[in-house]
Amino acid sequence: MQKKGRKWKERFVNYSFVAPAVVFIALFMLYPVWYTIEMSFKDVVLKNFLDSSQQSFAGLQNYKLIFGDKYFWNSLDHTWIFVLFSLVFQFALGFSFALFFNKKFPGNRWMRAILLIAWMNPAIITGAVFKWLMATDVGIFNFLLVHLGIVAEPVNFLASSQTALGSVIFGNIWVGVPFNMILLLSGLQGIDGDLYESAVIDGASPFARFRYITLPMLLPTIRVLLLLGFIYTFKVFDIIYAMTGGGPANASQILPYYSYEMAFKTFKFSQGAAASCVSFAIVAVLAAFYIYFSKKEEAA
Amino acid sequence: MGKWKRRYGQSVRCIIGLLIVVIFLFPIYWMIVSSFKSSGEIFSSSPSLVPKSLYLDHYAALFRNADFLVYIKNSLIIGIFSMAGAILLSAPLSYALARKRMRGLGVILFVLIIIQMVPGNSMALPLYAMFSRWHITNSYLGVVLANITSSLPFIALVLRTSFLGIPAVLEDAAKIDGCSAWGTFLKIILPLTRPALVTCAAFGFIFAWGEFIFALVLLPEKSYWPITMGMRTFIGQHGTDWGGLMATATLSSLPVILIFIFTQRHIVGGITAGSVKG
Repeated sequence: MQKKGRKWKERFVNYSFVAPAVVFIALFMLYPVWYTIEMSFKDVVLKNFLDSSQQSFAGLQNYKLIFGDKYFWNSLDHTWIFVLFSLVFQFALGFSFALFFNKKFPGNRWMRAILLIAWMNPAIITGAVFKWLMATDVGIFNFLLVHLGIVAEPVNFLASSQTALGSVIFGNIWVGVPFNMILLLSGLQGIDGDLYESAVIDGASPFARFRYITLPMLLPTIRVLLLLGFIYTFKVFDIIYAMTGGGPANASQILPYYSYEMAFKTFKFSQGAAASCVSFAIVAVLAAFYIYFSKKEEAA
Repeated sequence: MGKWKRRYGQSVRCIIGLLIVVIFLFPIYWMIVSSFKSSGEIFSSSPSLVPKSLYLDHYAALFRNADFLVYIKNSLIIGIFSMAGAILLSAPLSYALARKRMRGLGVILFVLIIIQMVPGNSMALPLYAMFSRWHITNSYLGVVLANITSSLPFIALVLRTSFLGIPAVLEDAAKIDGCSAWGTFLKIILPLTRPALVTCAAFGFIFAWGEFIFALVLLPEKSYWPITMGMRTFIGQHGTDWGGLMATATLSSLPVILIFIFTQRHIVGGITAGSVKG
């Protein structure tokens, strides 16, 4: 009897460790996701926003509306371009940096650490700084481009619909490079040095060593990193807000920005929620891959 | 001969490394330098790499600006409470995840990993709806709760990794000595994970300090704006006050850069622990 009582007490104590966080996660993280899904099937606008008794079931109406909206497709197209180019360049530069900083030389440690400032600094500040760097008349980028003779006239980076998306991608690449570098570096440092030594003895060229030792050994890190990179890039908002505000004429609007504007600029809350649900679905697919690959890595 | 060759190679690498740092961090340099230039120098047709003189008026104007001081105060309050909240909630949770054997822990871990992938800006809409009903928009509480949602999963995963590294013998010994579960956790385990706690506190603060979209959505009233929101006032319709904007940007980056410099060794490990190994 007493033993049973002690067991119950232990259980209770154990749950007291997790309960506060679990309540928080359920209430402020899981419920909002459910709330968004629910909202996407209702007709929530400004006048019935606070009173759920006035909100009626709208079926798939909101999805029909956004799928019929050319700006939705426009933002989805931009999302793919934004994610693809950000990922490719962040990864390529991050990888080159990682290979370089993996070598031994004085100052190496603090150099690679200080690069992380680009990633740690608030994105809204980075956006403001890039807005200044890329300003048309007084920006330093245009000054350099004109004086080096690369362009004849200053480029209207952020205010022209041809360059706006490319410009926010540029800013976002800058943010992501150090993150890629750090994760790849830790992957590189996990590779056993003996492998390289024996390859050198066998007369393998540097390229062969990279191709047949580095790449395969890094593959698990690379997979997880690209998936994480996709997910992080997919939710970028601040940089776009600060640099272009999604403009001009929606030229740099990506999906999260579209749902933000739907909900908070035009107050079509339910359509904004429907657009968010599309984001959820895309992220869910990637999350499934992420879980699959990290399970596989754990097992290996 | 070999020694000299190696030295030569290392110096070349060191120089290339410096070049990478200088070029890559140029935007940060330009932000700082521009904040020390007079408006005349900023709008001059040939920008100077180093300011002609140390022009401090942008900073003086900021500190005379009552709004700016309120923004900084708000950022500090929001940053500190978001950090404290995230740590208080996740430390016991992570400890249980690392150490306790009980039903449901696997599910919690799974939820943590998945939920950190949900785009923060999709959370803004439902949180705005919920908090409007509870009348906690335009309050520190609302934005702090929202900030915790974005830092909690990451912090919990990093802390779990560090709890996993503590030998279980310590807990057994404490238990034999009659120490309660919470006593063991607070008096023995937590002090041992101080480096990880410091990293997570740094992360929690930096996340909240730089957070923007929750503030944008949840704080319509200027009196609650953090500095990330206040910065927008320098981007005017009739041209931007670049000097003022860069001075604000520099000052708001300062805590991040300082915290980073003091904790960078741990942070590098933390990023890896929270991302890949999570």
